[in-house]
Amino acid sequence: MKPNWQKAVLVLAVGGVSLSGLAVPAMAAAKPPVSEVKLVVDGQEAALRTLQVKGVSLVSVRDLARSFGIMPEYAAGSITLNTEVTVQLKVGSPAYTVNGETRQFAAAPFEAGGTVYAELNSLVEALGGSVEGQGGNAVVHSFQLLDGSFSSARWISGNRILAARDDDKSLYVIDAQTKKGTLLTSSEDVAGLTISPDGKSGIFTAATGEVKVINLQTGLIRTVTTDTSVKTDLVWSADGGTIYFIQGDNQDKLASLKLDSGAITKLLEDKVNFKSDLRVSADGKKLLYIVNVTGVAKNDSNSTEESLTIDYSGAGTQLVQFALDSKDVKPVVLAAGKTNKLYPQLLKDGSAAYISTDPDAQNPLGSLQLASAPDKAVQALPQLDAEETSVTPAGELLVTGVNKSGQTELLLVQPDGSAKTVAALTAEVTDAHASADGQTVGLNEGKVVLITSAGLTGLTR
Amino acid sequence: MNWFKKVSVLALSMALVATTAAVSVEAKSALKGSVTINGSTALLPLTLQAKKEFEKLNPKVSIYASGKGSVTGPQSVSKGIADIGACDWDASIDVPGFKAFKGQVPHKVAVIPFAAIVNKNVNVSNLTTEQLQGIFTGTITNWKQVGGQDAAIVVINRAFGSGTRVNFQMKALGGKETVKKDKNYKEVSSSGDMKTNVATTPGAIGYIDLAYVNSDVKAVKINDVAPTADNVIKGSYKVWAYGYYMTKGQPTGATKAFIDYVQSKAFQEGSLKKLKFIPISAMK
Repeated sequence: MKPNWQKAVLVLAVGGVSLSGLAVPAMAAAKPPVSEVKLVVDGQEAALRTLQVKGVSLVSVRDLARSFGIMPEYAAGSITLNTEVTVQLKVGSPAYTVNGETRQFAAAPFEAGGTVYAELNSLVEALGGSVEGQGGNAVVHSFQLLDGSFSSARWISGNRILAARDDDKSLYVIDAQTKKGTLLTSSEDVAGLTISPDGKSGIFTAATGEVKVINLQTGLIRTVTTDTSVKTDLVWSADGGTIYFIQGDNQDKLASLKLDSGAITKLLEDKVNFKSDLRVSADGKKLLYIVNVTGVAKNDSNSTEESLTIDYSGAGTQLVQFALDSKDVKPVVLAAGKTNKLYPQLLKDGSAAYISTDPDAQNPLGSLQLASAPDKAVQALPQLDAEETSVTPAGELLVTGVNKSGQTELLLVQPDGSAKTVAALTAEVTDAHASADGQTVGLNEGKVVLITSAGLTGLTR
Repeated sequence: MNWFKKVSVLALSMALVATTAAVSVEAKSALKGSVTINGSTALLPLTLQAKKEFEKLNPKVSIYASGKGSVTGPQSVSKGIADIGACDWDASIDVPGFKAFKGQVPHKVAVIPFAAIVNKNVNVSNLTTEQLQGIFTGTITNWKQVGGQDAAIVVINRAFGSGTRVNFQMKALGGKETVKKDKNYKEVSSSGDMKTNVATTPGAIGYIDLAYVNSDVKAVKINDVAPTADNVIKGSYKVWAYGYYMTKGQPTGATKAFIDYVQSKAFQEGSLKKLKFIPISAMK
């Protein structure tokens, strides 16, 4: 399917605004001094002349138009700015129009030295843009930042972020530098796609069970296999040539799929149902997954209520490792029991990490566990109520949790348990993921944010 | 030590997954405790998928599930040995073979289509309601009586208490009771066993959740309508039912939160469809 790329890019016909010949009403008041302010417009620094009129800061319409790539038109004392909308304003008049609809400036446009000045925020918004911050810290966009509530954000190639918006169940690509967002697809089938290691493709299963791959540059989708068996937990190999997944009505098998041929190979069929959270090691030699162990219900042949018993004592989750490079090797249970085992990850040295939580505890906390062998899990970061983990492109474990100061702390953790704080924030952050060049994206109250030690930078509003 | 109290948000939507990451999350919930669910084996994969996602949003809640057939769902709620009873019918009202479970509240969680399936050697591709009634009551015993080859029909039936059996009887057999036969008849206790038996028994016929149908067996049309999700949604294929979570009275706390999650648009339009169920919102 072709993407519905949003056409938010303004025409890049750069041209200065000359006011010579423009009929400008005579201004009675003394002309205020003109200074210069440097703003960031679409990720580029732009110098805009500015002045103050009755305490209101105005900026040069010509300079702003230039930074937007707009060629103004002049007629009968008015300035017309044509982009995807038409904005008309007059010096001395607080009224201006956007596509013929009248709006009001707080302060009328003002002329000084042949240049017209107008309110920055109102003019930018009239042109379809947006302004973040104020004064010299303002960041101007010639487009509206994406708004709404987002549920996930992941790095893809080219310093871009793929973000899923709840409101319209669509995927957007956001440029991390300019913050510009464009629609990639609204296809519901793409829900749950897994991004390739190079960030150029996403893989997903359709409701039919078919596996499809979407090009994250173009939005084009192709079918990899028409096999209709249930497939979940799709994971890419490091080289991007193979997909590992859990297969079957009861999620009982492990299998792999070659992207070039569509060939499916069965890797494990051990009649153990309800596997989930599959991971594959970078060298492709180990798989890690969770087994959801069910309780045991028993009754008589007539299914009478009196005879019914349920034993949940053995129910819970197991963390299981399975070696792919040895024949006749059985899966190895690394950890078992009733505690929740969330966010299992395979680390660089082949050991596993997960967050363990005991819901039966009086004050259950998330405990980061590092497991190198069966029953050998040790706690790392005991000072942290660990909430989530992800693995960086460099293979490091990025852990998010709440520290004893109540801050959201992000740490990079090594297999030996040593850790380095990336950021400690008063704001709540979830879904943190690092890029290959060390940037971190996450979510804050449904907004996509860049996370640094200095704080959060919103990419959506 | 409760260091920091967090806001409960259950807005999980499309889950982008990085190469090693899992389901995305919003703010973590402060809910804690455990929820037990027993009943329908057909709904068990759905329950366990939801458990996995729900526990990421609510890491201090554990979901424990088990499956033993639909009737054991409301029975376990009635006995107080499970918080939620998963059942392939609305157990708060009478259905053929089972009285209503008084005081239990039904919560729709999925649409489950059922298919009549035959062994791949059977050369019949369509059966009418009357023919199905004849086969499952024992008056039709040879495939040649319904246009097929001269071969005995082997009926594979689900054991008493199965929600699939209740629904197949109500929707495909027009309410007719199946009849146990002395020969060429077998009862099985799960959807998996049903598929295996039909797939490996020449001349066999049975019925199963559409999600379980694969190339091992052949799903036949009923009254010339193919068993597909599209035909269920369009209303032309009638052999389907809602799957329910039954609770004793209105649910609260973690039990309510889990049911809300399973019913959420995010789960219904996401993972539930991947497991080949039909979202409840699809049925208008």
